[in-house]
Amino acid sequence: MSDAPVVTSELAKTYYDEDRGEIRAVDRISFACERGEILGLLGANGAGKTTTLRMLSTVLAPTSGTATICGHDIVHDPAAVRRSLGFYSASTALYPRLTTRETLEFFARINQYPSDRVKQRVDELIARFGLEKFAGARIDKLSSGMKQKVSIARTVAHDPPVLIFDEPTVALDVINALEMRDIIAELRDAGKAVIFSTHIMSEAEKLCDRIAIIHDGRILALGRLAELQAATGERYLEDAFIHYVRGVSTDAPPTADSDGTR
Amino acid sequence: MEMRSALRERNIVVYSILLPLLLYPALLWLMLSGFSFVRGQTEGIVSRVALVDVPPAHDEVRARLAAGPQIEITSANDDVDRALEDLRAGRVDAVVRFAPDSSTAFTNLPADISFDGARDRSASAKQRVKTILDAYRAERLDAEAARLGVSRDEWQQYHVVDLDQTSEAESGVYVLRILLPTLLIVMIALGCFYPAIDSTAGERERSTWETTMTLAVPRSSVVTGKFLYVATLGVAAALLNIVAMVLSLGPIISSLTGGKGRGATFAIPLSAIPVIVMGAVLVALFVAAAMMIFAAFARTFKEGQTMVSPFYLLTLLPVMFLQTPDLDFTPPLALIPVVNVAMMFRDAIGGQYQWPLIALTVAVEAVTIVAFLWLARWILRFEEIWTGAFQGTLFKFVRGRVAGPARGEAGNE
Repeated sequence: MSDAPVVTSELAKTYYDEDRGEIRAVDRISFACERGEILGLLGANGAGKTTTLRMLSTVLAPTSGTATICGHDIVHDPAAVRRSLGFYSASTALYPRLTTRETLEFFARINQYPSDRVKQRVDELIARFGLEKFAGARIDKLSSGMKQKVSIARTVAHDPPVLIFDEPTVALDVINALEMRDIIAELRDAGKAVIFSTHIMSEAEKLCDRIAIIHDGRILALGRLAELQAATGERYLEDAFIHYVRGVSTDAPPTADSDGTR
Repeated sequence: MEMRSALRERNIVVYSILLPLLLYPALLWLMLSGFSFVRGQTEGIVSRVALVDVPPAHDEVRARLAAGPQIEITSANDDVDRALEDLRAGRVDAVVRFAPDSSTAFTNLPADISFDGARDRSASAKQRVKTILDAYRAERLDAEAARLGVSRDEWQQYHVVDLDQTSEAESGVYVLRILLPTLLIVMIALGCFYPAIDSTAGERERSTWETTMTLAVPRSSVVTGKFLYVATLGVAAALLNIVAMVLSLGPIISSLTGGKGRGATFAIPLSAIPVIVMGAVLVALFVAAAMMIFAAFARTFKEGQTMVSPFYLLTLLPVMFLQTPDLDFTPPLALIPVVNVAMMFRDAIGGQYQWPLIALTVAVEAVTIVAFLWLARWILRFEEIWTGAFQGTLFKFVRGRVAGPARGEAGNE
């Protein structure tokens, strides 16, 4: 059994829709993410990326399969899982009536960062993200760029070993997106296991150590960029992605590493 | 932290703190001022009275009626049919007809007063005339008794004297017994209303629901925390309202009665305070749990208001019971949530403590609160509720869970 901080095995999620019946949003996917690694989930909208990440963060319960975060099962020990990870997505907004400092203190404390070091941690985060001028400002008074920074700061406030970013750059301008990527790379370098979802090919190319191509709820391929290029014979990730997705569409078998293991 | 955040929300501060403190004393003042004004207007209306067959021996009656406050004698003749026709047509407000033989009987003055009960002005005219006739009769009887040298008891073997034994303190308690329980229930419900919606539908609208669900605490703790926060604001609203009402009632009534009401004291017995606080906590817990259940199905604040409002109106039900001052607090009433606490409040303000019924009330409220809280926690375990994917009401949801296919519950929390 892998000792990776993030391990999923045959993880699946099925929804029930009154009109369409059962919908398999995620179909038995398996992967692992190591310390000091950024694993990218690359897929089109509706591919199953967000559902996968929501299951890992215990927001959603899997229909079948298992996953562990730092050894804690996402179904049986969800509070411990949440303590071990930071989850960032467009749907995890900040509490608008708290100030920046209150927000960071709240997330550090409730996620059980040692209470005697909370103040120091908050000061560090405020300095790291350049929030000094806005420490006492209410969140709803901040610009969207500043909110983004506070959001990242609150995600890492309790210094979790695992970080999940669900399309973190989707609503950002070029400068803020670049800054976001720098922060994620910095977290990886600090030894965190980072799972990062995106549908932007260039982002995955630049940032991810390994890339899982996900389509219709299934992982079609998983490997380093060079491995995916070699397996498909394509020079660019975008072409490799199309190669795999079209292979599924025409019922051609996937060509590389599709068992989802490293 | 939720409380600190809530106290920065204008609606919550207004409805849970400012209104209990300021609105109801102000409303009470306006209401009593309105009553005084309407009463003044009514008292200013002239009563048109027709007299029929006035006995010559009692000419003074005619003089007294004519001199009566706001009474105008429109006619005095023997045509009773015409007078009654005028009454039916609204040309007169009361017809006083004396018995034909009253002209010879010195001590007797039989008379009937015809009026139109469907018209306030006519009913008022009847009352004015009756007051004068009663006073006239009493004076005649007393004079006759004096002439005969006998006491009133000897002269009138059967008579009734009204003696109001109410003390000033009791008058105040009477007013508080009617007003305060109603206001307390209304205030608790109002105090819970916005926080209940804000902590459920409001979170969804602000996209912070998922943030809360990723906190490293059990989901049940999140629900319990929200529940206690809503209930706390409900209790705070109630207690602030008690303080405001007790402090303001005396001066308001005094100012409206030109100082006549100054004697009435509006104080709650000290022994009632623990019972009132306990009752306020019970109602707040009950209302908070119920409102959160309804609001959990709303995706926006506005939807939340629509879904919670019917329950809010339902909590006003005790008002019906409290408007009947002589209604007793009985075991059947003790079985009805909220109504039982309202009745318990009323008894306690009057210094009455029916401990078996209080115990029954506490038991009923506790069971209901636990059931509601369990239901709230059960509902919020379903992903489709807190992700906002479910569209419908509580009843549709429960029906779907009971009869429909199995659906995802979010983990073992």
